[in-house]
Amino acid sequence: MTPVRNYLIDTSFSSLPVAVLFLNGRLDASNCSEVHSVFSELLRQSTSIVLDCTELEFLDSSGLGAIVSSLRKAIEAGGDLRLSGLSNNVALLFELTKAQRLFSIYNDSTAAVASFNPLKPE
Amino acid sequence: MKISSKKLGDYTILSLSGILNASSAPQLKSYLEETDFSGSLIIDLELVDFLDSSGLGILVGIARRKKAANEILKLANLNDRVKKVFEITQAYTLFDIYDEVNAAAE
Amino acid sequence: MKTLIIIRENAHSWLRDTFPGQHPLLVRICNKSFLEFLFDFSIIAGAREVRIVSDGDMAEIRDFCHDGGRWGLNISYATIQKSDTITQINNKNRRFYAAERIIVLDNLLFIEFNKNESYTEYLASSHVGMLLSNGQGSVYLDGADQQSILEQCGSSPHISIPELGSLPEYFRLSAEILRQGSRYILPGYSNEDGCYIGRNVVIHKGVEIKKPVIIGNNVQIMPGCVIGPEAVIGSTVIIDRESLVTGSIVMHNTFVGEQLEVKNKIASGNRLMDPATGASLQLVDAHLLSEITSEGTVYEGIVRRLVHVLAALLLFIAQLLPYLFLRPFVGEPVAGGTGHEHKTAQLFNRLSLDRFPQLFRVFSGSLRLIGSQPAVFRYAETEEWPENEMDARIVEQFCTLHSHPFGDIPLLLKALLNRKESKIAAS
Repeated sequence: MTPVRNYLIDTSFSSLPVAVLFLNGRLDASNCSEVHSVFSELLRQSTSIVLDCTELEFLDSSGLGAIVSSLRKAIEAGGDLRLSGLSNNVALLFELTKAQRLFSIYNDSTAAVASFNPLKPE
Repeated sequence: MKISSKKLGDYTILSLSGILNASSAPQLKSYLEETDFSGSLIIDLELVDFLDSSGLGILVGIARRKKAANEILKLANLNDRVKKVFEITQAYTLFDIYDEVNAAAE
Repeated sequence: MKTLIIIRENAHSWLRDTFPGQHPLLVRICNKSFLEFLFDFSIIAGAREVRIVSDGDMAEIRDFCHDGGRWGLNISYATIQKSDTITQINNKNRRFYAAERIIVLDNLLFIEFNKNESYTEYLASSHVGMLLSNGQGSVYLDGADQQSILEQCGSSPHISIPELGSLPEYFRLSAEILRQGSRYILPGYSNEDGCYIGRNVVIHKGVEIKKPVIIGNNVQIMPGCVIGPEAVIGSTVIIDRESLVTGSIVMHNTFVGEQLEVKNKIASGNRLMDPATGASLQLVDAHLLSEITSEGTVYEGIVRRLVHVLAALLLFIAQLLPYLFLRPFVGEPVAGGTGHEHKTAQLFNRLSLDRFPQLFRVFSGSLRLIGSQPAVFRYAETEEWPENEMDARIVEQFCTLHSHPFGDIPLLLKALLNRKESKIAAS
């Protein structure tokens, strides 16, 4: 089952198209390679990426690994990967593995996208 | 197995003694069929060392008949071994069990 | 003074959900079961005779407590009905009461007390009746009021019953017990306040222990870990390298992987819980968090299987010819039997030939020859008296309790001979 529902490019901030990738269902050892390929594709279009995890029900260490490596690729490309909509259960995995320290995490995708806006006052 | 009965107030006390198992169960069964035990009944198991599934069967049968006739049945003075059989088989849910006949007969 | 502990089966469902497979009263808090803390209170109150009554299954409690000798107590057991009131429970345990004062602990998990204070005078001089109640459970004094001692006691030792109906409350109570460790008897050796360590605990080099901490038995803490402050580590636990456990509970039989951070959480086997948010995660990565299981006994299972297969083989040989001969005359095989059937069909069932096709499943190992459901023959069919499913289950529990692989053979013969009147359906 595909873990990626779809993605869209948010161009509400004209100078900075933000790609939003929606994760769906389970992300585990069996399908995390899909994330790798979709992500590489996405990086060509934008280096500002939001991973929305609202529909993500389950994550294991392989899935987490795919997300972390995506972060690394984004940073190497000069951009960033931010997370939104983490459920309490999935957040547990991030806390246990200390992975939550690597990411900027937001409640929803709108806030995450807005965080990329360079003109937004802090 | 020895069986005896007496009256205590409104209750009939049926005292059993020995082991209630496949060989003694029929004896109890026919005793019950021959005697009239209508009304409130207490079965005193103080002198019963042990019972098996046949013995349980007789008691369950009495409980059922008493319930159908809307009459009271209580058990009293179960020793720990007998208690365990009632607990593990879940048969205890069918009986009101007392640790003393006098308290049961109130 | 005696103690009566009432355990109501339908209570504490939150505890059964969070820590399944355990009786709620045997769940441990600060490495000691709730029940043992109640025993501690009983001893402090001067009551060494304890009766545990329940409307539910007490097998686990009995297995754990036996006769109470371990704590210097004399424990007995009795069953009650769900609908029984305190008065009815009193009547059913009159002999135990025997004109003494009884502290009745009704549906309680925990009593907050202080082992350094005195409770005997206070309890002896208080009036019969409700002493404490929190809506879930209560402490009730029953038995006789002893006029001569009443009103003599001036002291009022600390005693209360905390609200304990959810995981956050459990978490909070655990931290409080650990913080106020001297009030209770906590398991483990402590040569300093706030640090309790059990037997066979290996703490490797470079491990930082910050008080207050309690560690159970058979625990390994690998190098570089930081344990505490406010850490409860159960028994049979391994905390792998460089991990941090603080403000958390790691329950027994848990493996915590390396370079992890367990902060303000509860880890139990492969489950990680956050009391603050109610989140719960079952981890599938064994290297992160997993259960440490002890090897069970496989022996009995194999012997039983062998016995059943051999018996099924004999039955197969005995039934093969009659089956092939009678089967064409019977049409669809019918389980059980009624008087309206054709004579051949009756004979067919009487010889248990309707069960013949199921013998193949015994050979393949997917079905037992005789046992509780599912099985080719049910234990319940060895007796004539079961009239409904409840009766059948009583017989099955009895047989399962007293069963062993070779004992199944006489039971099988009994079931075969009993076929004529079986009112209970097969599988």
